[in-house]
Amino acid sequence: MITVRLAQGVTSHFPMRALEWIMLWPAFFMGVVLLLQTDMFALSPSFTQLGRWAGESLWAVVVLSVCMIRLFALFINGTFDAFKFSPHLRMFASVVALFFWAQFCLGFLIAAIYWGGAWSAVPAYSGLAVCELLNIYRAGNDVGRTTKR
Amino acid sequence: MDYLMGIDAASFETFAQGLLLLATALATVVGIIIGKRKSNGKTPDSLEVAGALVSDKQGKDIVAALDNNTAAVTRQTDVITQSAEKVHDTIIDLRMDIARLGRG
Repeated sequence: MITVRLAQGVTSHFPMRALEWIMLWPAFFMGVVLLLQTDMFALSPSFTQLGRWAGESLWAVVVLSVCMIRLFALFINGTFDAFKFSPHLRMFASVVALFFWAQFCLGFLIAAIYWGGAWSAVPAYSGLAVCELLNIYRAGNDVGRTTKR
Repeated sequence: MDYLMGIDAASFETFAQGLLLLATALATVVGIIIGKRKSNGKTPDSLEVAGALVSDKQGKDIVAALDNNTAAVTRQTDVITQSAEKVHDTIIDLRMDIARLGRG
């Protein structure tokens, strides 16, 4: 019975939250490859800046945690009215995800500008960051709607 | 990338992180405010309609029509006042005629 309720909740809100569902994929995939390829940052000068901030495993833990929080929030938001903080969780996950993709983008940008790294990742990562910015705005809308007037 | 060589990587990073913080704060605040407005019902819509009336050409037409109406009412008041004065004068004349008849 609860499965049916979850499925109905997810499908009814899917059109407005499609981008959040889609953004689970690159985050999850990146978390997995960061866990599996523990020497990723040593392979290219483009990872120099990222490697200075944190190692592969820490980045992986951050991004996979964001995935789990977002998945949990997306399942319960709008399905169980008793829990009022699911839009807040979605917003939190979007903010952390934005910082994650923005740090990747910035790392590649700095490497490209100052150390001769490749530019190709900058457009892709900045696109993901902009998507997360939109997710923050939409989750903010839901936070505003649920906040007491 | 010679045009960025004047700025070192650390300064560039600080600037970019600041920009990121600003964009995040803006998206958060604007999102929450618009969400609250949407949930607050009709009040903002009414205000928008009132604002549109004032600034719109139709709004100016309405103001002009009201001004014309006010002028017409003023003219009508003047005519009524003049008529009342005439009636007043006529009554005084009539009183004097009656008094004269009584003496005669």
